[in-house]
Amino acid sequence: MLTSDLALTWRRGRSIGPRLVDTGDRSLLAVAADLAAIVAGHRGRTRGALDAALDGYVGAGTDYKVLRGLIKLLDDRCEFSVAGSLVPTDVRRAVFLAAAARHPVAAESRGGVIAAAARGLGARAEDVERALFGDLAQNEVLVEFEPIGPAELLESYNLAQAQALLYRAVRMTLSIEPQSAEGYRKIFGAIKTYRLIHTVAGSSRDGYVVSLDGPVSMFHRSQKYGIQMAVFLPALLACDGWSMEAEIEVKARGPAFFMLTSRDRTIKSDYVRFAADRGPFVEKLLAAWPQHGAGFELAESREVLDVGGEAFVPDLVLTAPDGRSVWVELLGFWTPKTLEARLRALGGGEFGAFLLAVSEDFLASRDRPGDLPPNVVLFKSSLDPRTLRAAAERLLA
Amino acid sequence: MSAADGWQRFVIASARSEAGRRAMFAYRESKRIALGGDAKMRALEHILARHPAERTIVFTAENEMVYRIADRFLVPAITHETPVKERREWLEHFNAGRVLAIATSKVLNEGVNIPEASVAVVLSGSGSIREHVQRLGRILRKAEGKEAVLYEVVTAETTEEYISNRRTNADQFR
Repeated sequence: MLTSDLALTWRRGRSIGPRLVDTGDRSLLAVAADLAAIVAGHRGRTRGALDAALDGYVGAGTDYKVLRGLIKLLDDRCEFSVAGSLVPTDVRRAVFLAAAARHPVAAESRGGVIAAAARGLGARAEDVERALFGDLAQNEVLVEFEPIGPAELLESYNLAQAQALLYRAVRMTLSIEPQSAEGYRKIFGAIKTYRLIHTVAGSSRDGYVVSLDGPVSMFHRSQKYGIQMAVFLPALLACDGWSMEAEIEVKARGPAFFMLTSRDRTIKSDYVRFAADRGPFVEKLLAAWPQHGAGFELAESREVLDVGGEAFVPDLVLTAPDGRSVWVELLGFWTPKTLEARLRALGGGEFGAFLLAVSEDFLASRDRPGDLPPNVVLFKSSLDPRTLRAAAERLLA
Repeated sequence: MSAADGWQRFVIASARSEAGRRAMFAYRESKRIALGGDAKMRALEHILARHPAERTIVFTAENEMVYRIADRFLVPAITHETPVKERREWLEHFNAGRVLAIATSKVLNEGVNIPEASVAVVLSGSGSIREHVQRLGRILRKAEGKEAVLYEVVTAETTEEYISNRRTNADQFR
C-alpha cells in the first residue's frame, strides 16, 4: 500500500479521484520492469545498497512520485532481516566494553580489539564486524522478494492510489443492486471481513444502501481503521452490482466525492481469495467449537435477514440441544453509539434470539460502553467458545 | 528487452538529461561532504587522544556520521534507532566510567543525565545545530567546580565556518 504522501489525486468541481497511470504506456512498463529487476538483483544485499541503487535510478526526474510509489509497492514485497546468527546488541556490549580499556582506539589497534571480542564471543572477527551494526535498517539484508511483472505492478499501483484516497474518507455510501442471495452475501462478507462500521437499509427485493463510516470520522484507532477500509476496496471490486460514493476530506477546498462502480474497469482488483475468506474470529471459533460446544451446534450463517427496512447479516448460527437457534453477529469496529443503534434496529426484528459479539480491540472510541444487555458479549482479543455458549444459554433460559 | 539492457539505457539517457546532470551534481556534492567527514574524523582522533581519560560526548547531526564514529573508535552510538533499553544501558556505563565516549545524534534532553561528561565535541554538519551546542553547553556546566571543554569542529572555507562564527559570537557563549 502507498503512504499518504505518495497519493496523487485529480479534482474537478465536487469530484475527486486517484491519478492513475496508463498501464499500456511502454516507457512506464519499461521503468516498472527496471525497478523490479533492481530489487530482485539485490537479494542477499543490504537495504542501504538497494536504496542507493533505487535512488540512483529515480534521480531527479519529474515523475518522482510515481516512481517512489512503484518502489513502495515493491518494498512491500520484500523481507529484510539481520544477517548472521550473532545478536547485534550482545556484540556491541562485548566490543565497546572491551574497547574502553584501549580508549581512544587507534586505527592500528582496532582490528585487535575486534579480534579479542570475537574470541570472547566464540565467533569469527568478520562476523562480529558485520553484526556490530547489523540491526540498523540500512544494514539489514534482503532475504525475500516476491517477484511481480511490469503490467501487474502498474495495475497494483492504480489500485493502491484508489486505496490511498480512502484513507481520507469521511464516509462511504454503497448502493447494492438487487441480486442473488449469494451476491449480497459476498458484499456483506467483504464489509464484515474488514470490520467496517456500517448500517444497512433496504430489502433483498429492492437492493440495499450501506452507509460505512470512514477513517476521518473516527476519534480513536482511525489509522488502523483506514487501512481496513483501504484493503476492503479490492474485496469490493471483486463483487458485482454495486456503486459507491466516498466523501473525501480535502482541507483546502471542502469535501469532494470519489465515485466508483462495479462496471468500472480502470481499477482492477488483485483479490483472489474471496470464497474462502471469513473473519479471523469466525475461523477460530469454528475450529475450537467441537471441544466446548456442550450440545450446542455452531455453523456459519448464509442468511441475509430483512428487519423492517434494515438488513441483519449474522455470521453464525447456534443451535441449542432442543433445536432452538440463536443468530450471532460478530461486529467489527464499533463504538457504544453504533452498538446501541444496532441493538435498536435488531430489537424490532421477528427472527428470534440474537447475540452481538464485540471486541475491546476494535472499540473505535475512547468512551467505554455502559451496562450491556444480555445479548451483547464483550470480549478482549479472542472470543472464548464457552463465553459465547453461556450467553446463548442465558438468553434461551 | 532484458532488465540489464534497461538499466544501461537509463545510465546513458541520464547523462544527456537535465535530471541526470542534477543526479551527477548531487553525487559530487555528497562526495565533497564525505571528504569533509574524513577531515572531521582526523580532528576527532586528535581531540580524543588529548583527553584519553575524560568522559567525552561526541555530537553530530548526521546519523551516518554517528555510526562512522562508533565503528571507527568502537564507542557506543545513540540515535533514534537505538533501542531505549540499550540507550539507558550505555548511559549507565558511561556515567560509571566503563565506557569513556558516546557518539550521538540525539538531542540529549529527555531527562538524560551525564554529569560525568567533561568533554563535548560537536562535529558540525548541514542543518541547524545551534540548539544542540547550547544544550551540550548546559550539560557540561551542570556539575559545580567542574572544568569542561567544548570543541566545535568545522570544515574550513564552507558555510559551516560562517555559521559557527555567528554562533560563537552569540550571547550564550560570552
